[in-house]
Amino acid sequence: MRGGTYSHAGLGQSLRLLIQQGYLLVLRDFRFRYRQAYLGYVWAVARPVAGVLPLILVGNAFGLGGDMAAAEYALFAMGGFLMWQLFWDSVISPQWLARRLRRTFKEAPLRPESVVAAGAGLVLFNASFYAGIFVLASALAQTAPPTTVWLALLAFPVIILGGLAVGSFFVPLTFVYLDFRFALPLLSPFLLWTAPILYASPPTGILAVVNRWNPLTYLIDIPRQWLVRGTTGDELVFLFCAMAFVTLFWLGLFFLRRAMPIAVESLP
Amino acid sequence: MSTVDTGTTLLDCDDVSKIYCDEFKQRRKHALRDILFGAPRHGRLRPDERFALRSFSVTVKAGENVAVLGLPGAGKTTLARLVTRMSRPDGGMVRVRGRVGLVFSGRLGMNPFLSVDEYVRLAVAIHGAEPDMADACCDEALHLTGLSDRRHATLVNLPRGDVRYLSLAVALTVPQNLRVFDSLPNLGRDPVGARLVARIREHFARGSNLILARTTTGLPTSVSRAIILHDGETLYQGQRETVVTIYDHFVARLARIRRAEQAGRVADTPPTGHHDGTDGGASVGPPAVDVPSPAALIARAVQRFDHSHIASLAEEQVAQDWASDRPIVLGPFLADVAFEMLYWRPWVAWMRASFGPRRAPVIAVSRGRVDGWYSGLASEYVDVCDLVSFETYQARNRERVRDAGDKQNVVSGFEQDLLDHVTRRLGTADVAVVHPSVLFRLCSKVWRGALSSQWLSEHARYEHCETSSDATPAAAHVAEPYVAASFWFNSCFPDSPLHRRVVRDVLAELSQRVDVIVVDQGGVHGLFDSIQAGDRVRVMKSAETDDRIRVQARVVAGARAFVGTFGGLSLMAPFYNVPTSLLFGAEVGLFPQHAAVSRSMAGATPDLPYELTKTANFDAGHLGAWVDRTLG
Repeated sequence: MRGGTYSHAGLGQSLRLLIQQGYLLVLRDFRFRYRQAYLGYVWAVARPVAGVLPLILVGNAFGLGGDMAAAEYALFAMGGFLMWQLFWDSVISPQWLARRLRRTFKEAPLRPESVVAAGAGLVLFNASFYAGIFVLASALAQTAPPTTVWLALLAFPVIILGGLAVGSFFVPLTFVYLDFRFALPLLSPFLLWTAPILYASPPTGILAVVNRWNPLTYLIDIPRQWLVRGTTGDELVFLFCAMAFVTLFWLGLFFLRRAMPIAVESLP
Repeated sequence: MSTVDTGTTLLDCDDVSKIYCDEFKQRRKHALRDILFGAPRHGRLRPDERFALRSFSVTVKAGENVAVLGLPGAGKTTLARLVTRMSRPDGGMVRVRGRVGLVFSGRLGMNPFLSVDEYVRLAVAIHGAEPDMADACCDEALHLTGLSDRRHATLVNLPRGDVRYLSLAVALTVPQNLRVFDSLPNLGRDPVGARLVARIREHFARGSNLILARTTTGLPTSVSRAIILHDGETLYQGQRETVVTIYDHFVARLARIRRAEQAGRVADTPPTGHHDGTDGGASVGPPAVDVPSPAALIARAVQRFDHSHIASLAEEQVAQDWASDRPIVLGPFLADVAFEMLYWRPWVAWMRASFGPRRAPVIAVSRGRVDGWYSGLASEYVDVCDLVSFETYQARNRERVRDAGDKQNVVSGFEQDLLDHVTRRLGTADVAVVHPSVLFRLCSKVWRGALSSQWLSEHARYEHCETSSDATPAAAHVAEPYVAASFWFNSCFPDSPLHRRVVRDVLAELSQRVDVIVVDQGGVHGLFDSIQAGDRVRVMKSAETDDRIRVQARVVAGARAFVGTFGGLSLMAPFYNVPTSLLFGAEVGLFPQHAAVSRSMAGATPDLPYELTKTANFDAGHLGAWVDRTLG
């Protein structure tokens, strides 16, 4: 069996087509999901934003930020949470979209990668809202962004890629057994609290060890530092982490392409 | 889109297999295992699995249309999914050059809250149109469906048929190197349907299509090759015409078998299974239905096609000869009179009626001075004894019968010599010959059941023989009115005391009413010697002369009725409008085809009394009544 359907076309054309497909699939999803909502797409970002506020309040009350001031912790937690949310959206968006395209997958030669592209599009749409919220929060806290903020912006695609990498593995699996879909929300708090997203990483103890072994620590904490504080000295670690996630992303795509036809065949 | 030269192989499916699991839960279990630890299957089946496609091969070249015909469940959609890379094969290779598109009218990612424009763009993208050509494809699809001015309408407000048309239009619009038609779309007669049909025809005319179809209806003539797929396996493949005929036959037979199965009765085909009743009588319920396998059905259809194909080729050849400016020689006919009456002469009459009169001569060649039989059918009659002496004819014809049998299945040396004589007489070698072997070979296929008996009835015209010259009875032998009779022993009227008694009873019954002339052809040793007593029965010994058949024909033609053994000269009688009553002794010797044809022949004259009676049922009183009615 030969490889890519569009292998004859140039890579640029192929990528453009993928982006086009992704955009249209996102549009299709939005049209369906928010067809009866007055506020429409606002609901796409309302939940994470509403979720982070109590966490900030609780975190401040329990001193999760260590020696950070309240405003500084608020930005720290919000930055971390929005980046986490970016990652988590990337994990779950492809399988959301794919499940709503089951029939199309059964009937039409829809490329599996297109749901990854669509997932990325969905996350970018959310990201624009998250960025706006963070800018607003910074303005309210009267905090000027550090010079390393551009590094944080560059890290965004890596975070999204990391999430999509994990999500790509789940797309075919959720086609076969819905258990994978139901298990994902359970995984969410585990990942959230095993990485120093809403708290400062302790120097010692079990949590410190867990934080150290959790790749999300590097994927989120370092860009968050670039966003709210400045350089961390761990830039190289992030680079290695980014390379690992990019590799995982290609592996995820390979797995998706190989597994998706099997998964589609298993559909009733 | 890349362009591909004509003749380049666009699709090459080589020994492709695909395994499918019918049980949903098992399928999920297998799928998870295959996703996580997938490995080549090597044709190994797990529980509840079957081959959706097995060792299937097909190639499609640029500019070529190939069809795969199969009933639902045959594996067509599986093949479409493999070719369009929606599925991966479990064995073999699928190689596609260039872009392949699936033509179907399903709802491509349809969301009723999308606008028409958004849906078309999405469908175009799913079909793989590159962004720089997407706009043009969308505009064309909307134009085809007449929805250009409704592009901002929401799909939910569109009739369902329009969405179907839109999906199909997009599939037909996006440029592809190879198109896979998953079934031939059944489109309406409305303007949009007509436009889509026209577009489909354009694609068929251009070629590079793999057409998967359930029926042969609407299958384009441009299809060069076709494959019959059944239960995932190739049953037959070949040229379009061949495959279409075979497939139609196969589907019809399968439908009949399934109806028979549903009705719980044995199919009307010979059993292929073995039932010796040794199952201990444990099974309870309706009797088992023996059905031929699909492969056996195809083999039968192929055989039938081959025969009908030969028939059509022969017909085509005759038509060509008839249409030419060359003289046509029909014959020489040397076989039994019965064949000449039942098959050859009606076929010649059919030729003339079907192909019309011709300017170039049509020369009938036969023996026995039977020129009256070909009057109106041929422009000229040549008797064999005009070409060679009567003795030569007798000797060489005996030789021919000894070597090849009475039926003229081949052109013997003697016949070739006769034909040479004819061409010399005509003064040209450029002569078309329609030899009786053409008909005899086809007839033998009909008699064996390999060719439909309908072929015979469709290729025969039972026209009466001219009676003006032949009807004059031999004055020296007979006085009018009389009944002609002729008996001889053969396979359907074997020599037995019963049959000898029947002959005597017949002649006795007839002679009570009218004069009887018995045409003695020999072969009834001593039978007529004992019935000379009656003054009204006269036995006419046929002289061994070149006009023997004509003399016999005159006697038959001049009679008020004819009674005799089925076959031979007896079959002349209906052609002379002479009421006929024929006898046979055993069905085993009476070839049913000849009997059926003789009935058809008699049926050509609706009021002509014609009886075919088994000697076991012979009733002299009944015959007497029949004669009374006939003589009026």
